[in-house]
Amino acid sequence: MSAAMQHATRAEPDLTPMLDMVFQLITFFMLVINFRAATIDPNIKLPMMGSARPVAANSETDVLVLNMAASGEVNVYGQSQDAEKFLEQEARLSLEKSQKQNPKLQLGDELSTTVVIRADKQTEFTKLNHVLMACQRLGFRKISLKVLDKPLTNQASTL
Amino acid sequence: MRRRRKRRKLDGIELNLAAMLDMAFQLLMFFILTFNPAQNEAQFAAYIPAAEPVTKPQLTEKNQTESQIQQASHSEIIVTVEGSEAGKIEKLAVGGKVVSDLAKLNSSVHNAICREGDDCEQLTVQVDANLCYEELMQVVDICTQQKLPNGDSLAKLKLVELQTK
Repeated sequence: MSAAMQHATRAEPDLTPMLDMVFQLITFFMLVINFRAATIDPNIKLPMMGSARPVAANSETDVLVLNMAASGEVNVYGQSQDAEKFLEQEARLSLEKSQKQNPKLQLGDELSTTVVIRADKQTEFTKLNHVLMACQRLGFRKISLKVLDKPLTNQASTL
Repeated sequence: MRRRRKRRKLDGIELNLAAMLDMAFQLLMFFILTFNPAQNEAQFAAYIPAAEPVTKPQLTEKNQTESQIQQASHSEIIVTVEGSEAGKIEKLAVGGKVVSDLAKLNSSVHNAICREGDDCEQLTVQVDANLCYEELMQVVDICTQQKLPNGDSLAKLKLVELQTK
């Protein structure tokens, strides 16, 4: 047995091409990684509207994404939230940030944050309006209403 | 002489790539498992100044009521959307005048903006409480496509809830 071991040739495969390929794959996935996907609730079915403007990259610095189910339940980062309490908390944080530049600002004055609403296509307007009115009262004037500009493919819809 | 000595030393170094490859595979697995392609999402941007409930107007085929004429006389155009029980669009009106369908809404809103001229600042959409988001977006789509007489896009869109008397 020991003699056989001694005669066995030592296999040393060249790992360099494999490492090159793996690093290329890592680079690809690092470039396409989408951190904003965590803010999106995949259960929400957005309406499809071909003429909506695509979202410009880095167009908005402060964005607050609210997912609204057909029942009117507001979901943020996978957690169900009381829309008014959550918005008030966020408004105060945004206000504190803005007050560094303009100390005279008060709650209810216009904030720089854009509220992005991803509502289910079956959501009633009265539920949406409840959130919109809270936004307006707290100073969130810039609102983005999300839709799909193309139908989802089967693969994407299952993700 | 110095260079030769250095070369001899370097020739003998053999890096063990197996550990690096293990780590690289772990990173690769992480990125593959967390890969989530972005959806084809678009948006309608709206600047919403204030929201207050309004009284549901009685829409007529012929003429506007006095209150609607007063509302329309401001530098804003009022689009009224009434919904059915199922949340679908039932009745549309621009400045109190009933519009038969969404295709005609586009031309009616365009005409109203042209009539208002440079005074036109914002478009108010009065929406029935039970209208669903999908139907609302069709109206918002038409409204946000409108251009002001000076060529700018209509930036201010106000959504208010219709309340029955």
